Formats: sequence, structure tokens, C-alpha cells
Amino acid sequence: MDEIRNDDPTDAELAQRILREGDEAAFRALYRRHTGALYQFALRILGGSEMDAEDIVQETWIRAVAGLTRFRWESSFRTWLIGIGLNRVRKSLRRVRPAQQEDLERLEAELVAPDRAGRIDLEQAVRLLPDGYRAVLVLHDVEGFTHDEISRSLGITPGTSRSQLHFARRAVRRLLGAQGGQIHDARHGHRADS
Amino acid sequence: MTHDMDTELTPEEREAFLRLPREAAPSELLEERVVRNLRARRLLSPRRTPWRRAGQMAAGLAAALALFLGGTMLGQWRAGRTPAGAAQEPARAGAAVTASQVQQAGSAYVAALASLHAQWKPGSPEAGKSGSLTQGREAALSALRAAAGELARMDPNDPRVAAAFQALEQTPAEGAEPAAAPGSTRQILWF
Repeated sequence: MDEIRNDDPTDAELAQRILREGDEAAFRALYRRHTGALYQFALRILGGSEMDAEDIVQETWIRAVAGLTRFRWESSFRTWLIGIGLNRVRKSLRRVRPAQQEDLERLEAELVAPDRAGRIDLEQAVRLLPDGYRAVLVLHDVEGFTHDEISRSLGITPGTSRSQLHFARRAVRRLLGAQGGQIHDARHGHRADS
Repeated sequence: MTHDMDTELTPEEREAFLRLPREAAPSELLEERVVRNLRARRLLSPRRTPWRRAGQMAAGLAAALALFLGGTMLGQWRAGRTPAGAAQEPARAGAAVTASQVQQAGSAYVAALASLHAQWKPGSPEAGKSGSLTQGREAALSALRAAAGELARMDPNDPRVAAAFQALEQTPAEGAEPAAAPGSTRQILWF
């Protein structure tokens, strides 16, 4: 995606041109500036389905441009855009319900199968999580959402968000257990020694 | 960021999450798909290039010019449709108009002959010596023969037309003196 230079128009300026003139060039500039992050977010939270992630990106941009007049610029444009994307993602995910002990046992049994252990990196481990676990883990540990924000975004209680995160982290650690029992990013060769 | 319970991330784990890529590139076709969709919803206008704007301006000028010329020609055509102009269109005038033309031409012919007669003094020494008067009389006879011929073609069985046509065919050769006796009365029946 395009990098922003000092002489580039700001997001607000581009948005104004879109609103005032339906300026396609302004939209393309805004699209290229933010779509990489939006697509990665959708791709990760949906578990790696490129087709679904692209659909989310398209729906998000359509809703964003249609609702541009209502955006008050109290947050960054990207945060607002990701929020719209999250609303679209939520409709694609299966209903998130409170984690149960049997969920974790079933998940762990599946994830630590011999043909998987030790052969996946963190990205792949996150991708293998069930929808509800993965959504909370990505929102909390990757995107930096609080449990209150997650509960509002996904329509669950903060307690459910906490329990989902707890089980998700345990599942990821178990999945990566053969590599030292801690979460690490295999792609960068970084490993936490403990 | 709040981390709780017994699965609190270690600094290394947190760093591992932070190292995950923040952006990815979707297919190149997606941008066009989104733009097309926004255009279809009229949320974006089509991209305008300078040559396209110039073309649109030229087309607008051409359309305005064509409209102006068309209006002018229409106005001239409508102004030109006077009664006299319409009378020159036999196909549109109809039989009634043609009959009216014959009547008007006949009245004009008789009026001209009456005027010629007023200047014609058969008993005077000048009678028959004025070239203009003689020419007028011959022209009147030629017109009369031509008219009789047309009438005979219209209805060959009409005895009045046949007799008149026969009498006119016996008219003396051009330049001969008229055979009318002084003081005699001339009658033309078909006008």
C-alpha cells in the first residue's frame, strides 16, 4: 500500500474531495492508503479466507464512503474504517458464546495433533483457532482493543471476552508447545526463552 | 491494553504479536471492483480527463449550433408558407383552388380584352394601324385558341367547345385584318 509523504493530502482533505465532487482519484488515494491494514485485519480475524476478506473490504469501503458525512473525525480515519470492517466481520462470524471447558479440550486435542505440532508459526496458530477465540485474541492481542471495546464490538459481555481470550492463549501455547511452550513468531526466528 | 488471568502475555509474547504483519495486499482487481461499485451507487463520479472535458464542451457547442440553425430554418420555412406560395403547389391546393385560379385568370383576360376594346376604334383611321393594339388582339386570339384546345381535351364531346375550337381554327393568318363588321357585337360565351 502507498506510503504517506508530507506533501500528500490528508485523509480529511481526500474525504472532502470525495464528498464535494465524488472525486475518484481522491478515493483511490484513500483506498491505497488504508486498504492494506483493513484487508490484513479482515484476513486475520476471518482465519485466512482471502475471498471473504476481500468481500469485507469492499463492503466496508462502500459503507464508509456512504457514511462519510457522519464521520466527525474524533478518531483517526483508519480506526473508524477498521470499526466498520469489524461490524461487517461480526456478521460473518459464527455466534460467539462463552467458552466452555470442553471447547478447550476439543480444541487442544485437534491443535496438538502430531502432524501439526512444531510446524506452524504464530500466524498459522491464530488462524486455526475457532472463530470466537480467534476474534477476541486478534482484537485484544494484535489490535489492542480492551475487553469493554471487544464486548461492544462483538455483542458479548466483558466476562465472555476475558474467558475467550484465556482459552485462546492457552490453545495457541499448546499448539506451539513443541517449540518451547511459549508464543513466538517463527517467521522472524524470535523465541522467548523462559 | 489490559491482560489478566493466568494467561498474561510475557513481554516476548507481546513482541511476537507486535511483529505480525499489519498490512497485506489484496488482489489488484479489488480496487477496480470497489470503484465500480461506488460509481454504480453514484457515490463516485467517473474520472474526468482534460480531453474528455474539451470533447464534452465541443459536443455541447455543436448541439447548440445545430439547435440554432434548425430553429432558424424552421422559422423561415413557416414564414414562407404564404397563400400565394401555397397556390403554387397544385398537389396541395386541390381542385377548388385550381377552379378559382381559372376563374381569376378568365376575369383578368376579359378585363384586359375590354380595355383593349376601349382603345380599338374600328371606324377610325387609326384602327388597325397601331402595332400594339394588333399585337394585343392576336395575343388574345392565341390565348383563346389555346384555351379552346385545353377545353376540347378535357371534354371532346362537348358541342359548344367543338364549335368554338373549329371557328377559332379558321381565324385568318397572322397579320390579316379582322373580319368584324363595323358596329357588330362580339360575344364570348364561356366566360
